[in-house]
Amino acid sequence: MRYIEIEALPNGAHRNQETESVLSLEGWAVIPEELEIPESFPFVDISAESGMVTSMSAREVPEPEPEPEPEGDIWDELAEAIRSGVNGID
Amino acid sequence: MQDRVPTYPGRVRLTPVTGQEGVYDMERADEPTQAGTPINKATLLTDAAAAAVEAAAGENSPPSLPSQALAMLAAAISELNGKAVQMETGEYTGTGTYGSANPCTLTFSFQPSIVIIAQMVDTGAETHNVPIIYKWGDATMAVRCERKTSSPPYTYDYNVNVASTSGKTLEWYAASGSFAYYQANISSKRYVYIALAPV
Repeated sequence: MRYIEIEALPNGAHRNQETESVLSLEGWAVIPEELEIPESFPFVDISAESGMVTSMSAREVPEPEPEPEPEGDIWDELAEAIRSGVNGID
Repeated sequence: MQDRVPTYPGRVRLTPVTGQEGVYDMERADEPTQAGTPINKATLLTDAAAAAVEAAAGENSPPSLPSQALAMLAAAISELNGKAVQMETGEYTGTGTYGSANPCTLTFSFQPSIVIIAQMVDTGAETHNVPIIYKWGDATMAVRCERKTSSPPYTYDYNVNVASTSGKTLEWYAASGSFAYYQANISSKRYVYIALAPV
Protein backbone atom coordinates (compact mmCIF):
# COMPACT_ATOMS: atom_id res chain seq x y z
CA MET A 1 0.00 0.00 0.00
CA ARG A 2 1.11 3.53 -0.70
CA TYR A 3 0.81 6.12 2.05
CA ILE A 4 1.16 9.90 1.84
CA GLU A 5 1.28 12.56 4.52
CA ILE A 6 -1.74 14.80 4.11
CA GLU A 7 0.05 18.02 5.03
CA ALA A 8 2.58 19.20 2.47
CA LEU A 9 6.17 20.16 3.28
CA PRO A 10 7.23 23.80 2.78
CA ASN A 11 8.39 23.06 -0.78
CA GLY A 12 5.06 21.46 -1.73
CA ALA A 13 6.21 17.82 -1.54
CA HIS A 14 4.54 15.22 0.64
CA ARG A 15 6.37 12.64 2.70
CA ASN A 16 5.39 9.20 1.49
CA GLN A 17 5.98 5.49 2.00
CA GLU A 18 5.05 2.35 0.12
CA THR A 19 5.10 -1.06 1.76
CA GLU A 20 3.27 -4.36 1.73
CA SER A 21 2.45 -3.93 5.42
CA VAL A 22 -0.71 -2.36 6.73
CA LEU A 23 0.27 0.69 8.78
CA SER A 24 -1.66 3.10 10.94
CA LEU A 25 -0.12 6.53 10.38
CA GLU A 26 -1.67 9.55 12.03
CA GLY A 27 -1.99 12.46 9.63
CA TRP A 28 -1.35 10.23 6.61
CA ALA A 29 -3.74 8.73 4.07
CA VAL A 30 -3.75 5.67 1.83
CA ILE A 31 -3.47 6.22 -1.92
CA PRO A 32 -5.98 3.88 -3.60
CA GLU A 33 -4.41 1.67 -6.26
CA GLU A 34 -6.77 2.94 -8.93
CA LEU A 35 -5.73 6.56 -8.38
CA GLU A 36 -3.35 7.83 -11.05
CA ILE A 37 -0.07 9.13 -9.63
CA PRO A 38 1.16 12.29 -11.42
CA GLU A 39 4.76 12.34 -12.67
CA SER A 40 5.46 15.24 -10.34
CA PHE A 41 4.95 12.98 -7.30
CA PRO A 42 5.63 13.70 -4.43
CA PHE A 43 4.97 17.29 -5.53
CA VAL A 44 1.20 17.01 -5.68
CA ASP A 45 -1.98 18.56 -4.36
CA ILE A 46 -4.21 16.07 -2.62
CA SER A 47 -7.60 15.79 -0.99
CA ALA A 48 -8.24 13.11 1.58
CA GLU A 49 -11.27 11.82 3.41
CA SER A 50 -11.46 9.24 6.19
CA GLY A 51 -7.82 8.24 5.72
CA MET A 52 -8.10 7.75 1.95
CA VAL A 53 -6.82 10.05 -0.78
CA THR A 54 -9.77 11.07 -2.92
CA SER A 55 -7.96 13.18 -5.50
CA MET A 56 -4.40 13.96 -6.51
CA SER A 57 -3.14 16.47 -9.04
CA ALA A 58 0.30 17.52 -10.22
CA ARG A 59 1.94 20.68 -9.02
CA GLU A 60 5.10 22.45 -10.09
CA VAL A 61 8.31 20.69 -9.18
CA PRO A 62 10.82 23.17 -7.76
CA GLU A 63 14.30 23.46 -9.18
CA PRO A 64 16.57 20.65 -7.91
CA GLU A 65 18.54 21.60 -4.85
CA PRO A 66 22.22 22.37 -5.49
CA GLU A 67 24.57 19.45 -5.20
CA PRO A 68 27.24 19.54 -2.52
CA GLU A 69 30.56 20.61 -3.98
CA PRO A 70 33.76 18.75 -3.13
CA GLU A 71 35.72 20.62 -0.53
CA GLY A 72 39.28 21.56 -1.44
CA ASP A 73 41.70 18.78 -0.58
CA ILE A 74 44.86 20.20 0.95
CA TRP A 75 46.93 17.19 -0.19
CA ASP A 76 45.81 17.63 -3.79
CA GLU A 77 46.75 21.29 -3.57
CA LEU A 78 50.16 20.46 -2.09
CA ALA A 79 50.84 17.90 -4.82
CA GLU A 80 49.90 20.40 -7.49
CA ALA A 81 52.13 23.06 -5.91
CA ILE A 82 55.11 20.68 -5.82
CA ARG A 83 54.51 19.67 -9.46
CA SER A 84 54.47 23.33 -10.45
CA GLY A 85 57.80 23.95 -8.69
CA VAL A 86 56.61 25.89 -5.65
CA ASN A 87 59.07 25.27 -2.81
CA GLY A 88 58.30 28.12 -0.49
CA ILE A 89 55.60 30.47 0.75
CA ASP A 90 56.16 34.21 0.74
CA MET B 1 -15.31 -25.05 10.33
CA GLN B 2 -19.02 -24.56 10.90
CA ASP B 3 -21.10 -25.22 14.01
CA ARG B 4 -24.20 -27.39 13.79
CA VAL B 5 -27.33 -25.26 14.19
CA PRO B 6 -30.14 -27.48 15.56
CA THR B 7 -33.80 -26.58 15.67
CA TYR B 8 -34.22 -28.90 18.69
CA PRO B 9 -30.87 -29.03 20.49
CA GLY B 10 -29.98 -32.50 21.81
CA ARG B 11 -33.10 -34.25 20.47
CA VAL B 12 -32.56 -37.87 19.34
CA ARG B 13 -34.80 -40.67 18.03
CA LEU B 14 -34.50 -44.13 19.71
CA THR B 15 -35.61 -47.18 17.74
CA PRO B 16 -35.77 -50.57 19.55
CA VAL B 17 -33.54 -53.24 18.03
CA THR B 18 -35.69 -56.22 17.20
CA GLY B 19 -34.99 -59.21 19.39
CA GLN B 20 -32.61 -57.38 21.75
CA GLU B 21 -34.43 -56.13 24.77
CA GLY B 22 -33.24 -52.81 26.14
CA VAL B 23 -31.10 -52.10 23.04
CA TYR B 24 -31.88 -49.13 20.78
CA ASP B 25 -30.53 -47.51 17.63
CA MET B 26 -30.07 -43.81 18.15
CA GLU B 27 -30.12 -41.07 15.53
CA ARG B 28 -30.14 -37.31 15.79
CA ALA B 29 -33.56 -35.74 15.52
CA ASP B 30 -32.57 -32.13 16.14
CA GLU B 31 -33.59 -31.03 12.62
CA PRO B 32 -30.57 -28.76 12.00
CA THR B 33 -30.80 -25.71 9.80
CA GLN B 34 -27.04 -26.09 9.26
CA ALA B 35 -25.44 -29.53 9.46
CA GLY B 36 -22.05 -28.16 10.57
CA THR B 37 -18.60 -29.57 9.89
CA PRO B 38 -18.15 -33.15 11.04
CA ILE B 39 -15.49 -33.89 13.66
CA ASN B 40 -13.38 -36.64 12.14
CA LYS B 41 -9.93 -37.44 10.77
CA ALA B 42 -10.52 -35.52 7.57
CA THR B 43 -11.26 -32.29 9.42
CA LEU B 44 -8.82 -32.61 12.33
CA LEU B 45 -5.64 -34.26 11.09
CA THR B 46 -5.35 -35.77 7.63
CA ASP B 47 -2.44 -38.00 6.69
CA ALA B 48 -1.11 -35.23 4.44
CA ALA B 49 -1.24 -32.67 7.26
CA ALA B 50 0.42 -35.11 9.66
CA ALA B 51 3.20 -35.75 7.13
CA ALA B 52 3.69 -32.00 6.63
CA VAL B 53 4.00 -31.45 10.37
CA GLU B 54 6.46 -34.35 10.61
CA ALA B 55 8.63 -32.80 7.89
CA ALA B 56 8.39 -29.23 9.19
CA ALA B 57 9.22 -30.26 12.74
CA GLY B 58 12.03 -32.60 11.69
CA GLU B 59 10.41 -35.57 13.42
CA ASN B 60 10.84 -39.24 12.48
CA SER B 61 7.18 -40.17 12.62
CA PRO B 62 3.97 -38.29 11.95
CA PRO B 63 1.76 -37.13 14.82
CA SER B 64 -1.21 -39.40 15.41
CA LEU B 65 -3.32 -36.83 17.27
CA PRO B 66 -3.96 -33.11 16.70
CA SER B 67 -2.53 -32.39 20.15
CA GLN B 68 0.71 -34.14 19.16
CA ALA B 69 0.85 -32.13 15.94
CA LEU B 70 0.44 -28.86 17.84
CA ALA B 71 3.14 -29.87 20.33
CA MET B 72 5.55 -30.71 17.48
CA LEU B 73 4.90 -27.35 15.80
CA ALA B 74 5.27 -25.42 19.07
CA ALA B 75 8.64 -27.08 19.71
CA ALA B 76 9.77 -26.31 16.17
CA ILE B 77 8.78 -22.64 16.46
CA SER B 78 10.52 -22.37 19.80
CA GLU B 79 13.74 -23.62 18.24
CA LEU B 80 13.50 -20.91 15.58
CA ASN B 81 13.81 -18.10 18.13
CA GLY B 82 16.85 -16.06 17.26
CA LYS B 83 17.47 -18.06 14.09
CA ALA B 84 14.66 -16.75 11.92
CA VAL B 85 14.16 -13.16 10.87
CA GLN B 86 11.15 -11.09 10.02
CA MET B 87 11.58 -8.78 7.11
CA GLU B 88 9.76 -5.84 5.64
CA THR B 89 10.49 -3.99 2.45
CA GLY B 90 9.23 -0.78 0.95
CA GLU B 91 10.19 2.47 -0.65
CA TYR B 92 9.76 6.23 -0.52
CA THR B 93 10.25 9.08 -2.94
CA GLY B 94 12.57 11.88 -1.86
CA THR B 95 11.01 15.25 -1.12
CA GLY B 96 14.18 17.36 -1.41
CA THR B 97 13.82 18.72 2.13
CA TYR B 98 16.15 18.39 5.08
CA GLY B 99 16.75 19.69 8.58
CA SER B 100 15.16 19.01 11.97
CA ALA B 101 11.90 20.65 10.89
CA ASN B 102 11.60 18.31 7.91
CA PRO B 103 12.81 14.87 8.97
CA CYS B 104 12.41 11.77 6.85
CA THR B 105 10.22 9.12 8.39
CA LEU B 106 9.62 5.42 7.90
CA THR B 107 7.14 3.34 9.90
CA PHE B 108 7.35 -0.44 10.18
CA SER B 109 4.94 -3.11 11.35
CA PHE B 110 7.55 -4.29 13.87
CA GLN B 111 10.57 -2.78 15.58
CA PRO B 112 13.53 -3.60 13.34
CA SER B 113 17.07 -4.32 14.50
CA ILE B 114 18.65 -3.23 11.23
CA VAL B 115 17.35 -0.95 8.48
CA ILE B 116 19.05 -0.73 5.10
CA ILE B 117 18.13 2.19 2.84
CA ALA B 118 19.36 2.42 -0.73
CA GLN B 119 18.73 4.93 -3.49
CA MET B 120 17.68 3.43 -6.80
CA VAL B 121 20.56 4.61 -8.96
CA ASP B 122 19.58 7.16 -11.55
CA THR B 123 21.85 7.05 -14.58
CA GLY B 124 21.32 10.75 -15.21
CA ALA B 125 22.22 11.89 -11.73
CA GLU B 126 25.64 13.20 -10.88
CA THR B 127 25.48 12.55 -7.18
CA HIS B 128 23.67 9.73 -5.43
CA ASN B 129 23.43 8.15 -2.01
CA VAL B 130 25.16 4.83 -1.46
CA PRO B 131 23.30 2.26 0.67
CA ILE B 132 22.89 3.17 4.32
CA ILE B 133 22.89 0.65 7.13
CA TYR B 134 21.27 1.80 10.36
CA LYS B 135 21.36 -0.16 13.63
CA TRP B 136 18.21 0.50 15.61
CA GLY B 137 18.87 2.63 18.69
CA ASP B 138 21.96 4.43 17.39
CA ALA B 139 21.78 8.21 17.75
CA THR B 140 23.18 8.83 14.30
CA MET B 141 23.10 7.26 10.88
CA ALA B 142 26.07 7.46 8.51
CA VAL B 143 25.10 8.68 5.05
CA ARG B 144 27.48 8.65 2.13
CA CYS B 145 27.02 10.50 -1.14
CA GLU B 146 29.06 9.71 -4.22
CA ARG B 147 29.77 12.14 -7.04
CA LYS B 148 30.47 9.93 -9.99
CA THR B 149 31.77 12.57 -12.40
CA SER B 150 34.82 13.09 -10.21
CA SER B 151 37.67 10.70 -10.87
CA PRO B 152 37.98 8.77 -8.66
CA PRO B 153 34.37 9.30 -7.59
CA TYR B 154 34.29 11.85 -4.80
CA THR B 155 32.51 10.72 -1.65
CA TYR B 156 30.94 12.72 1.15
CA ASP B 157 30.27 11.15 4.52
CA TYR B 158 27.77 12.70 6.84
CA ASN B 159 26.43 11.71 10.24
CA VAL B 160 22.68 12.22 10.24
CA ASN B 161 20.78 12.72 13.48
CA VAL B 162 18.14 10.15 14.32
CA ALA B 163 15.22 11.99 15.85
CA SER B 164 13.20 9.09 17.11
CA THR B 165 13.63 5.37 17.46
CA SER B 166 10.65 4.80 19.71
CA GLY B 167 8.10 2.23 18.76
CA LYS B 168 8.20 1.31 15.12
CA THR B 169 8.95 4.66 13.49
CA LEU B 170 12.36 5.87 12.37
CA GLU B 171 12.94 9.59 11.82
CA TRP B 172 16.18 11.13 10.69
CA TYR B 173 17.40 14.53 9.59
CA ALA B 174 20.54 16.25 8.42
CA ALA B 175 21.59 19.43 10.17
CA SER B 176 20.28 22.71 8.84
CA GLY B 177 22.50 24.35 6.29
CA SER B 178 23.44 21.05 4.67
CA PHE B 179 21.78 19.29 1.75
CA ALA B 180 18.88 16.94 1.05
CA TYR B 181 21.58 14.62 -0.30
CA TYR B 182 22.89 14.23 3.24
CA GLN B 183 19.42 13.23 4.43
CA ALA B 184 18.97 10.54 1.77
CA ASN B 185 16.07 12.58 0.48
CA ILE B 186 17.01 13.82 -2.98
CA SER B 187 14.03 15.38 -4.67
CA SER B 188 11.90 12.91 -6.67
CA LYS B 189 14.44 10.07 -6.32
CA ARG B 190 13.31 6.58 -5.30
CA TYR B 191 14.73 4.98 -2.19
CA VAL B 192 14.06 1.38 -1.24
CA TYR B 193 14.47 -0.08 2.21
CA ILE B 194 14.59 -3.38 3.98
CA ALA B 195 13.99 -3.77 7.72
CA LEU B 196 15.11 -6.87 9.59
CA ALA B 197 14.58 -8.22 13.11
CA PRO B 198 14.90 -11.61 14.79
CA VAL B 199 11.63 -13.48 15.28
